[in-house]
Amino acid sequence: MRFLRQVGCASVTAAVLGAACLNALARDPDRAVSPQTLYNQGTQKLGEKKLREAEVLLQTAVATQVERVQGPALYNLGHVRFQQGLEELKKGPDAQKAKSVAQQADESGQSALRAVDAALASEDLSAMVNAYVQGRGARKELKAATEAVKQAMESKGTVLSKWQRASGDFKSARELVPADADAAHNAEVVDRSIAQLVDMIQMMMQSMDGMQQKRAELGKKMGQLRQKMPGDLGKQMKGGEEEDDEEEGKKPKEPQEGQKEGPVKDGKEMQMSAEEAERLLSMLRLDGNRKLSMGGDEPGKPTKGKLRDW
Amino acid sequence: MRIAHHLILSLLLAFLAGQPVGAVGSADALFDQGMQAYVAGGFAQAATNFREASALRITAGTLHNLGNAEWQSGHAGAAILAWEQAQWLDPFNPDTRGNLRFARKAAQVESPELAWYEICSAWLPVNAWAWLATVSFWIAATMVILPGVLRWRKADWQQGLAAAGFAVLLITLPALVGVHTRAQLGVVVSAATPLRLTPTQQAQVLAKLPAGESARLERQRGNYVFIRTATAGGWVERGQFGLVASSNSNP
Repeated sequence: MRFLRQVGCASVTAAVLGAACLNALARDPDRAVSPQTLYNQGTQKLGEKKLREAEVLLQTAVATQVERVQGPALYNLGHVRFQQGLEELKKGPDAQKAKSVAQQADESGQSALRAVDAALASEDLSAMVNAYVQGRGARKELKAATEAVKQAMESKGTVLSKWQRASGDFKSARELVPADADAAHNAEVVDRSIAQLVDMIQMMMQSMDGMQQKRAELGKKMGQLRQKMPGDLGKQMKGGEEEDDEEEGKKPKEPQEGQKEGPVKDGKEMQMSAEEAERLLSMLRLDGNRKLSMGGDEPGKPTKGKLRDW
Repeated sequence: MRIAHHLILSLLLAFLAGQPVGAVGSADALFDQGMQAYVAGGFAQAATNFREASALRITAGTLHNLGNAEWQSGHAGAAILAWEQAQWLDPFNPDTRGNLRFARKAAQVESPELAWYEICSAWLPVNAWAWLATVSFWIAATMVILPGVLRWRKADWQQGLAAAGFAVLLITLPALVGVHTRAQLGVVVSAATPLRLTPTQQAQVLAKLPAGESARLERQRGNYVFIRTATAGGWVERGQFGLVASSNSNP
């Protein structure tokens, strides 16, 4: 009987210890913030346009795996990421400008090619020199335009990845809450924007390829022209051409020992008027009556009813 | 008369084994076919046969061979799962243990991290712990209750036996808990399995899990299961994760 009493005492002790552990777990500071609070805070940050913070909070709310919160949090996360893409679109290089620069460079390249062809056909030395100089200018212009298009493409790539994630978020929200028609609608709108963006990126790629080909062709013909030039003139021209080509394969400068960082320049955020923004966004226009509006009046607010607090 | 005796004996054995006679026979036939296919180099066919055989009658040997066939077919995840299942049934087989160690090293995946009571639970086959707990409980209970009921004189040996029974029961309890928690262990079957943030098709992918990665099942929702690996937790599709203690050896 004494043995049974001891077993009983041990069981009571174990129960008390277990209760103490559970109590300690309940007081864990990591568990203090509830998913609802995270969702509300994230939604508030979204309203305040603090997109980075909103993304972190809403993502954390989703990661808590509380079914009731996941759907609405994903919906708002979709909005956050779509707006982040829009911000990137505003900050990035102007695609229209890059396009016009590319067109101009293409025309210059075409004109230079014609001049070089004509010079190659003739024996006129001054025409050869002029065509060569024009070709060099056109090649530099083409290079600058290619660089501009490349930068624009990189920026569009970032936007694309943000919008793809936004589309995934809306679709996931719909999967979790099948009755959420707004999520399905927004996913459709984002998908259309993505399609337009992809078209634009493809156009830029084609334009870049065309410019690179033209530049290479021009370089080749300029080489032929150089060979045709008499005596030292060809060699003199060669120096400049090689210099131009070498820049491409050059490694970025590495910091040297003892080198100090230069003075920091005060950066200024690019200000953009409403008209400029509208023009920029007209490339990716969504239907005006849709929930993901991009105008100045209602900048990407989540659908009504989704911003409720618990 | 002799045939009738044999029939009754066969039926009794089959009943005790918990399997229908036909199932045992076809399981044996499938096992033999699997062996033949394996020897002939038809590993995919062998894996199919062994899987079908283990669906009819689960044995450690069939699962071990299934693991070998899957490994030879280039399915590291399915092989590790089959060997883990074989080890669940028979933890003493050194070949299975060796294969698992080799496969994990080759696939560059870690063994699951086990708590102390889970390690203890792996010392004996899972059913042995249940038997041990049941027998010890009844011995202790009998020694406590019977003398009173039958008006026996209390003897030291009865008290000693009861104490020993309770002691063994107490020792088996952590192991039984270990068996219960180890039952949630599983293996990622497909290579580059996306670990998702949400149980949805278009979910954000947190990581790509290699085939053979061990994880614990925490919950299920729809066509997805929430698993926790040593480094992260997330959702994977049901078909991409196999439980070690699953009654079905199909991944």
